[in-house]
Order: sequence, then structure tokens, then C-alpha cells
Amino acid sequence: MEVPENGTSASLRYAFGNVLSFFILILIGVLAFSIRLFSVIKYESVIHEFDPYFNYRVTQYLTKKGIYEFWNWFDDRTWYPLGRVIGGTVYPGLTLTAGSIWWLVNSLNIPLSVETVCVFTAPIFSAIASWATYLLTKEVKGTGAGLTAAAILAMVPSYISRSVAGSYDNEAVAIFALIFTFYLYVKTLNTGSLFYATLNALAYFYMVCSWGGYTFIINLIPMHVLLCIVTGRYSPRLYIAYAPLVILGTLLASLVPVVGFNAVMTSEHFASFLVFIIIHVVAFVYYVKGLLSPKMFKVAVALVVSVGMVVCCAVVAVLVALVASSPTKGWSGRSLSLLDPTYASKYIPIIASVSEHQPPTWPSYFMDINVLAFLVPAGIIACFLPLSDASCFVVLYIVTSVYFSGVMVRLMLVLAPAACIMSGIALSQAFDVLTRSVKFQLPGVSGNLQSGAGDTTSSTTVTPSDVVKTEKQPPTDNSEDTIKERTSKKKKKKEKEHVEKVSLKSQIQKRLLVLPLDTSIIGILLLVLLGAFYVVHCVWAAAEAYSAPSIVLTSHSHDGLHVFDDFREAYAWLSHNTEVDDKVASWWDYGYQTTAMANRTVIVDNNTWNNTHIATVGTAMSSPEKAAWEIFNSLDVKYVLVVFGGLVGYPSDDINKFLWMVRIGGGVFPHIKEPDYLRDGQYRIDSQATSTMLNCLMYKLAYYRFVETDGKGFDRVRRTEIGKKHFKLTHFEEVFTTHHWMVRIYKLKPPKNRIRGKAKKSKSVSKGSTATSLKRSGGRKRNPWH
Amino acid sequence: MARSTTRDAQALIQSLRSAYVATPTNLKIIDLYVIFAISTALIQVVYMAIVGSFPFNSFLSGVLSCVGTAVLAVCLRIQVNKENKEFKDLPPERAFADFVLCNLVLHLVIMNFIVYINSFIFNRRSVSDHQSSSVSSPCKKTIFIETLAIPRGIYRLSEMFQLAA
Repeated sequence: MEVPENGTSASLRYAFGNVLSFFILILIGVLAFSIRLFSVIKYESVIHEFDPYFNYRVTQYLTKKGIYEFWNWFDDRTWYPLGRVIGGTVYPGLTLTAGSIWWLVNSLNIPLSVETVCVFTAPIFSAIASWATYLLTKEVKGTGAGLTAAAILAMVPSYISRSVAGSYDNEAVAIFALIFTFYLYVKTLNTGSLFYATLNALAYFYMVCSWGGYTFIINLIPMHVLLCIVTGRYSPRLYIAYAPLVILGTLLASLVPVVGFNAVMTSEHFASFLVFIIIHVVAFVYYVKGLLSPKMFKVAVALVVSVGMVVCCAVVAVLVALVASSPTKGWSGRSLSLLDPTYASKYIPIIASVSEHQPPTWPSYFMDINVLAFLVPAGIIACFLPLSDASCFVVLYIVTSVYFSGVMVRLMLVLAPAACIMSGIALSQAFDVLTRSVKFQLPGVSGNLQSGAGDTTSSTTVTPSDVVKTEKQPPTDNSEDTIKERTSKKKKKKEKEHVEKVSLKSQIQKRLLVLPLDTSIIGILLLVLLGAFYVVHCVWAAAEAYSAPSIVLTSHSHDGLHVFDDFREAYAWLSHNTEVDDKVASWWDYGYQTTAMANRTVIVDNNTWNNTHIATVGTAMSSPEKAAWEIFNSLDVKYVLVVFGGLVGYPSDDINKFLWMVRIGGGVFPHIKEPDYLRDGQYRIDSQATSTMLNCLMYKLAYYRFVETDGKGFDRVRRTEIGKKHFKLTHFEEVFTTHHWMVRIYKLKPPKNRIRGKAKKSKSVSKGSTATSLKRSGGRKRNPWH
Repeated sequence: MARSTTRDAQALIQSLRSAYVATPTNLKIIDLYVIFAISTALIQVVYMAIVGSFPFNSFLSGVLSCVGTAVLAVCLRIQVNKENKEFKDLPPERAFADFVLCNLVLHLVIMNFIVYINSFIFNRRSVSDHQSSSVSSPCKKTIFIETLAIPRGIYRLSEMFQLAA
């Protein structure tokens, strides 16, 4: 009679727990969406940074012209005169997602503009990503850990930095695709169902469409399969999880134009094929082992090993010869720089110059994942008790992502979901132990000490609560609510398990390891406090550090808030005051913004696919005026755009980036040598600077008429007075300088109509034209300044 | 030494054969289908070695479709095998339905990829006809093998399932 009563009450509690977790998930989604809206509230609903502008322009084209035009689009407004095949070189996932959201919303007659959809795509997908984290962690450890991990991921600053409202970049949807693919892989591993294997392949296809980081998946999963095989955890479910994924995944990856045949030809994918062969061999061995008796199996093994070894060596030798014959062993430059962090700085200065590709500093770990940094080891230990295929996978994920995040700051983003999963597991296990201790020691609970999990996890609870806080900050309402709901839900779940264990294991009476009552209460309070500090930090990071759109700058001074809108001012001037077909030259950072906002053709942009073209622009910026005019004229450039922060103290201007221009230019044109621009190894622009530096185009364009602002020419960023103060420009004329002198636009002066003075005979002989023709108006191709 | 190894080899083959004969008929049919698919893939590879690998996408999709359906058939065999303790709760109809679904997705992708517009580099201006203009003869041969063999194999398998039920 007791059992059915317990059964109904248990199922009622189970249903209540399900409803509660559903509402918690909705709240987590709302939290993830709202915490990313700070930039929209503080500034405006605008697209941030540089890369999102390109994605925005592509989405505009997609929504205006349709999908067929998009696939076949050849863009002639960038990389003049080379152009760029957009259809074949862009990862289409993000633009297709936003385009379909826009189309769906507009077909429901909700008139949202493309810009609004683009700005808000990232927060929506981060809410969905936290739900995917819940699903993944639930597969690994259970519902409680899932909810904790989802709540942590909704707020983790590293993910916020790349998915804030307005940051319309590939990672916004790619992180969701990554977590979802991993969830489906773990689900297939746990259930062995071919249906989930199909879904896994389709989710992997979405990931390949979205981001170049898909190579992480196609290398991590084979690594995990190999680890399972080597540690003796091979099972048929592993085969079902892996083999269809490789075949379908390779095919689907080849469908995406950006990847194409790279899916079978580059070294980044070879690991998956190798493990594909290995798993077939292992599966066959297990099958034969099941067929034969043990004695015959030993005979078979001896026979096969002796014969197979020879064949194997031959095959491996052929493979090694094939791979070694290519100079980079088949790896692309970016992947090689991940494996060997010093590769890029030696061979490819462009990759080394991007600030996102630098290794992170130690404080950036604490800034980006905060409290999770020391919850992760606790989570790793919790994964080993007990070790399953899924928890083995998550441990491998965190270890590899920690390594890669140490190589490149941008990959901290891949570390974030792994850290959240681990911390979710650790926190939920800790709460498990502590609440169980409290529950079994509360007066009024029957002394039914049943067998429970051996509490070696008590050591993990000591670690986070070792931090003694003297001040108590009031936790925010949100964390208290969610954490309270979680503990109460866990209590209910524990009761349900307790009831089941009473009916099943009534004979076994082991002593349950519990912590003393007051220790566990203090432990719970301290863990809640930890969560509170995490939430406070995340909200601060989202509001102050990561919400800047970087196209609009603000500064607080004693007379209020100053807004620097110089970039948009310059682009608007360009779009209103120049011809549609005019070409604008600038450093590659501003290419995407110029094409998107000013709608003018640029020479180089952020895609950086052609190193020589960028080096040409870099050489022009580093040369004296005459040589620079020649280079720009050969590229049909009309306007040159320079960013200068000396008047207001904006540190990321072109003068600070100038050494990279020299290095990249010098990498292709050997007459540009970096030591020419440095005085005693130091980069200076004051009176001690070298003459090459003081005469180069970048210096002149940045500091032209700068002395008129304060009479002394004091550069606020470099904190010195400039070296050459009064000079005139001979080949360029200034056409526009923005309000705070941040963007300066110059026009190339047309060649003179008449040539005065003597023509140089030596030059005329070398060019093969007569002296008389020199005196007439200069030819189109020859420089008339000679 | 050599004689003992040959004797061992013979004994091994004998025991393998006797053990294999004992497997149920439906599993043997699936094994036959797997061998058929792999041999089709081998024929395509040999053909590619003779004729050359242009267009590469057709070759890739042809070979991967054969290997793919072989892999899926092996997965089906794992799930249907009555000796497998992990899958005893799974009804064989569900396993077959999953197999058909996965094959459907696989062949949809194959059909899309076999006449892939691999002329993104050459097509500078927008092309009005997206239907393939590059269906050359190696491609046609792969399509031929593809369309004949695989549906017939699936049809046979479904017949076998009706027999076994």
C-alpha cells in the first residue's frame, strides 16, 4: 500500500520538477537575451566593429536580390581591381539564418528592417545556445547540472563579448551550432539511435556553414573515439555515433562552397578518416572475437599481426610521403599557427598582426570566465565519478579547448561552453552533497540512512568555500531566485530517489557520509555568495567592457559625456561628396565599414586574402609622397583615408598600426626596411625620429596642419610633440577632416597639365621616349613629376 | 613451422566458416548487401584510376554514397542482431525506419553533390541556369550505378524484413 502511494507522490513530484525546470529554462533564455542589450540601451541599435559590417552588407544583398544571386555574387566593390567571389568565399550560415528570420518575420507582416534583425540575431541565438547547453549537460550528468550550466553560460563574459546585440559575426550562431552538435553526438552515444546520428550530421552541416572553427569538431570527435577505443570503452553505440557522422559530415561539408574539396584533401580532416579506418578494424576484430572460441581467436591474432604488420608499414610509408611532399604538410596557415604558436610571427605577418590572434594574458582568463576558472578542476574530478563515455568526452573537450585558448585570444570563446559545463557539474554536485547533508540532519526527518554515493566529493565542496569573504554583498534577485529554485528542486529529486531506494535496497544499510549540519549550511551560503559575485561580475563586464560598438566612442569628462561619432561622419561625407565609382584607399581595417556605410570601392579590406595587395597599400603608406602617389595612381585611387587619434587620445589609430604596415609591406617589397623607421630600435614620431619616418606618407597625412590645433603639435596618444610641424603636401590635398580630427580624407592631386623645367635625359632614354614629348603634357602612364 | 601455420590457418578458416553459418539469415542478407556496396565502391575507384578524376565531385559522391550505405547497413545489422544486449529494447521496425531515414538524407546530399556547380571560380558573372551543364560521362556512369543499385538493395532489404516479421 505504501508503494503505490509513494509511486503517485513520486510521479507528482517528478511532474512538478519538470514544470519547474521548464520555467527555469525560459527565465535563463530571457536572462541570456537581456544581458546582451546593454549596447542598444547605452548607445543605439547599431552594428559594431568591422567584420559585422561585411556580414550586414551580404545580408542586405541577400534580402534584396534573393538566394540565387547571392550564391553567384561577384563583388567588384572591394579589392579593386581584383574583386572577390563572395558566393564561394563566405561562410553562409549566419547570413542565411538572419535572412530567413527576416523573411519569416516579414511574411508575418511584422515590418522589421534587416538591420534590426541583424543586430538582434546574436542575443536570440545565445538564448538558444544556453538551452543547448542544458541539453548537453543533462546528457552528461543530469537535470540539475544542466540547469546550472545553462544559467552560467547565459552570463559568461567571454561569450557575451562576441554575441552582444550588434555584434553580427559568425560566432553568434556558430557557438550554438557547436554545442548543439556536441549534444547530438553525446545523445547518439548514449542511446545508440541512428535517428540522432542523422540529426548529428545535419547539425554538423550547420556548423560547417557557419564558422571556420568546424575543424575543431571534426578533430575532437575522432580524438574522443580513439580515446574510447584505447581505454577499452568500444561499444556498438560508438560505431553508430561515429561512422555515419564521418561519411555524411564529409559529404555535407563538401557541399559548402567555402570548404569544397578541402573536406577530403587538407590535413585538418585526415584525423577523421584515420579514426574511421581504425574503428572499422576494431569493430571487425570484436565481431570475429564474438564468432570464434578464445583459442582460435589467439591463432587468428597471431596470423593477422604477422601479415598485417608488413602491409600496414607500406601503407603508412606511402601516406607519410604524400603528406610530407607538400611544404606545409597540407595544413592551412591558420591551423598551423594554432599548433605552432610561433609559426605566424615567422612566416605570415598578417595573421600575427591581428590582435585577436595574440595569446591571451593571465588576467584575461579571470575577466572572461571569472569564477569558472577554479570550478573547472572540480568539475573534471566530478566527471570521473563515475566515468562514462559522455563525461570522458566533456573532459577531452575542456582540455583541448584550454590548450587552444592559450594560443589565441579569440578561441577563449570555444573554452567558454566547456568551462560552463564543467562548472555546472561541479556546482550541482556540491549542492547535491550539501543539501543532502542538511536534509538528513534536520530534526524531524526519519533516520533512514540508506546507501548513497561515497562522498569523496566533499573535498570539492571545500575548495570554493575556502575563499573567506569578510564583506557580504547582497546577491541579486535573479541569482537568489534561480539558486533557491534549484536547491528546492534538488531536494524534491533527492526525495524521489530516496523513496525508490527504500523500495529497492531496504536490506543494505550503509552509513551515509554527510557533512556536519552547520558546515553544510555555511557551505550552501558561501556557494550562493560565489554565484552572486559571478553574476555581479558578468553584468559589469557586459555593461562596461563588452558593449562598446567601436564605431561610436564616448568619454566622460568633467562637463558631461562626449560622443565621438567621427567614423560615421567620415563615411557619410564620402557617400555624399564623391562619385559612386571613386576608389578609396585605406588600411585594411576599415575596408568593410567603407563598403558598407560609404558605399565606395576599396582597395583592401578585412578579408586579408591577398597579402601582396595589402603589402602594396602598406608600401604606399610607408613611402615618400611621390612614390606613394605613383602607387595609388596605378591602382586608380582617388581618395586616401587615414585614422588619427592624436587630438583626442584614441589609441587604435593608423600611426600606432604603422609598424605593421611597414612589416607587411617589407615582407613583399624588400626596399621597405623596418629599421629605417626606428631610432635605436624605438618607434618615435618626435624630433628624434628618422628622416624616412618623417617623410613617409602616413606621417604627413596624419599630422598635416596638426600644429594649428594647439600651436605645439602635442600628440595625446604618443605623448610627445611631433617632429616635423610645418610642411606642405605636394601630391595630395586635404578634402575632409572630421570634428575631432579622427578621420582624415585626402584626394590625389591630378597630374599637372604642363611640365616646367628641364626633363631628365637619363630617365627619358630609359623610358624610350624623346625629349620633346617630355615637354608636352605628360602621358597617362608616365609620372609627370619627373 | 610453416606447416603448423598453414594447419592453424586452415583450422581458423574452418572455425570461422562454421561459426558464420550459424548466424541468422536476415543478418547474412545484410552482410551480402554490405559486400555488394563495398564492391561497387571499389569498381568506381578502379574506374577513376583508369579514366581520371574529373569531375572530382561526382567521383567523391559516388564512392561516398556506396561507403555510406554500407556503413548504415552495418549500423542496421548491429541494431537488429538479437545477440546484442544493448539493443534488445529496440524493435527492428524502428531500426529499419532509422536506416531508411538516414539513407534518404544521404542520397539527397549525394544527388545534390553529384552535379555540383564546381565552377565558382570560373563563373564570374551570375549564371542564369543552375541546372548542371557539366554532366559529363564519368558523372553519368556514377549516376547510373547509383540509381540502379542502391534502391534495389533497399527494396530487397525491406522484403527481407517482411519475411522476418
